[in-house]
Amino acid sequence: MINKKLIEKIHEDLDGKLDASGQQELREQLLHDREAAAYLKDWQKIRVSIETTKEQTPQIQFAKDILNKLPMESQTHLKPEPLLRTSIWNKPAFRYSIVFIAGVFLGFLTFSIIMPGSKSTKTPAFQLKGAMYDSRSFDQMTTADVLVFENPMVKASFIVKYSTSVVEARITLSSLYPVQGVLVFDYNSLQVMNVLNVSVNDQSSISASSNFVQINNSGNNQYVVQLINKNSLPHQISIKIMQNESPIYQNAVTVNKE
Amino acid sequence: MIAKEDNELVYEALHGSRSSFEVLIERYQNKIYGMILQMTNDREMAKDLTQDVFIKAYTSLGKFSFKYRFFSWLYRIAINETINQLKGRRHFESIDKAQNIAAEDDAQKGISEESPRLKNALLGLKDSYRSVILLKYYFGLSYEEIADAMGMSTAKVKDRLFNARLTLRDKLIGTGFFGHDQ
Repeated sequence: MINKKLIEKIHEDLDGKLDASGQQELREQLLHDREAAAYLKDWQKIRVSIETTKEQTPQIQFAKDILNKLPMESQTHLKPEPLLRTSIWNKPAFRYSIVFIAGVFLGFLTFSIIMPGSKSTKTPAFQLKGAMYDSRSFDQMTTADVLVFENPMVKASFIVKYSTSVVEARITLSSLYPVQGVLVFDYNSLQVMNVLNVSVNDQSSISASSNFVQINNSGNNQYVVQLINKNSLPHQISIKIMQNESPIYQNAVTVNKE
Repeated sequence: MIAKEDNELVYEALHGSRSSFEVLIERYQNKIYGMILQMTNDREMAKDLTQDVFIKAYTSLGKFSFKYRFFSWLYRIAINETINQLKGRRHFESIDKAQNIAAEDDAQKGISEESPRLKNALLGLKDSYRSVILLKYYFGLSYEEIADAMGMSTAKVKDRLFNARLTLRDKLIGTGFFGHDQ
C-alpha cells in the first residue's frame, strides 16, 4: 500500500508543480519504495496515452443548430430551470421531517377542534387588519408612477401603485456588479407590510426597516415591496440606486395623489 | 478586436443578445463535446447532449451567478446532463457499445492498442470518478475549477481524484496496458 502523501507528491511532480528540492526528495523516496516507483511509471504511461487520445477528439460546429433551437423569448423573460435534478424531496431526512411536522400540525388541529370550550372567535372580515393582502389586486390599483433607469451596467424599473389601504412597488433590477436600491418614506404615513423576493439569486437580498427598504442586488432580480397606506394624504417615496455608496439614480414617487 | 470576457457575454445574453450567446457556444462547443464524448464514447449521444447543454444553459442563464466562471458552470451542466443520460442506459450495453466504437475508431486511425484499453478502463469507472479524471487530465482544470464545476469543496475534489487515480490504474493492470502486467 503506497502512502497517500507520496502518491500526491508523485502527481504534483507529473503536473510539473514540484520544485527542484521537491523532485530530489521524491527521487530519494522512490529509491526506497519500489511500489511507488512502479506507480509513477504507470501514471507516466497513462498520461501519455491521455494526451494521444485528446488529440483525436473531432471538431464540431453546432452554434447555428443550437441557436435555432433556443427559445425565441427574451432571456430576461425565460423562467430558469433548476440545475440539479436531485430534488430535496429525495432526501429521507427532509421527507421524515415534513411527515413529522405534518403529524404534529394535524394532532394540534384535531386537539383544538375536539377540545371543549375552544370555540372559535369569529371576527368579521372588515375588522381584520394587516396580513392577508391579495397581491392579485395590484392590477386594480391606481398607478402612482413607472420609473425606468438604464445605463450600460444597470437596468431598473419601479412600478408603484396604491389603493386606499396598500401601496405596492414592483421592482426589477438587473446589474452585472452589486448595486443597492433604497426606498425611503415617512413612517407616520406608510408602514412596511411585506417585502418579497419574487425571483432573486443568492447574491441578492431585500430588507426593511421602519422608514426604508434596502435591496442589495447583483444579477437579474425582481422584488415586491408592500406598504400599509395609513391615511389618504399624498406621500412621497424617495427612490435611489447606489453603486459603491454613490447615488447613480434618484427620483421620487407620490402616492395618494387624488 | 479584443475578445469579450465570458461574463460580459453572459450579461449581454441575459439582456437578449443571441449573438453574444453564439460567441459563448463557439468558444466552448468543442470542449463540451469532447468531454461528453469521453464520458459516453457515443458520438450521436455526445452531439445531442452538447446541444442540450447549451440550450439548458441558455434557459437557465438567469440562475448563473457572476461570482463563478461561466465555463465551470457549463461543465457542471454537462456533467449532470451526461450522468443523468448515462443512468438511463443499461451499463453493460454502454460498455459493449463503447468498446466497439473505440475499437473501430482506433483501427481506422491506426492508433496503438493502448488507446481503447484506456477508454474502456475510463468507461468502467464510476461516473463521479470518470468526471473528475476527465476534468483534470483531458481539460486541464485546476482543483478549484473542478470544485466549481462539480459543486463540491476542493478537499473533496482531491480526495475523489486520489481514489479515481488508484481505481483507473487498478483497472488498467491486467489489460496489458502497462506491458509489465500480463
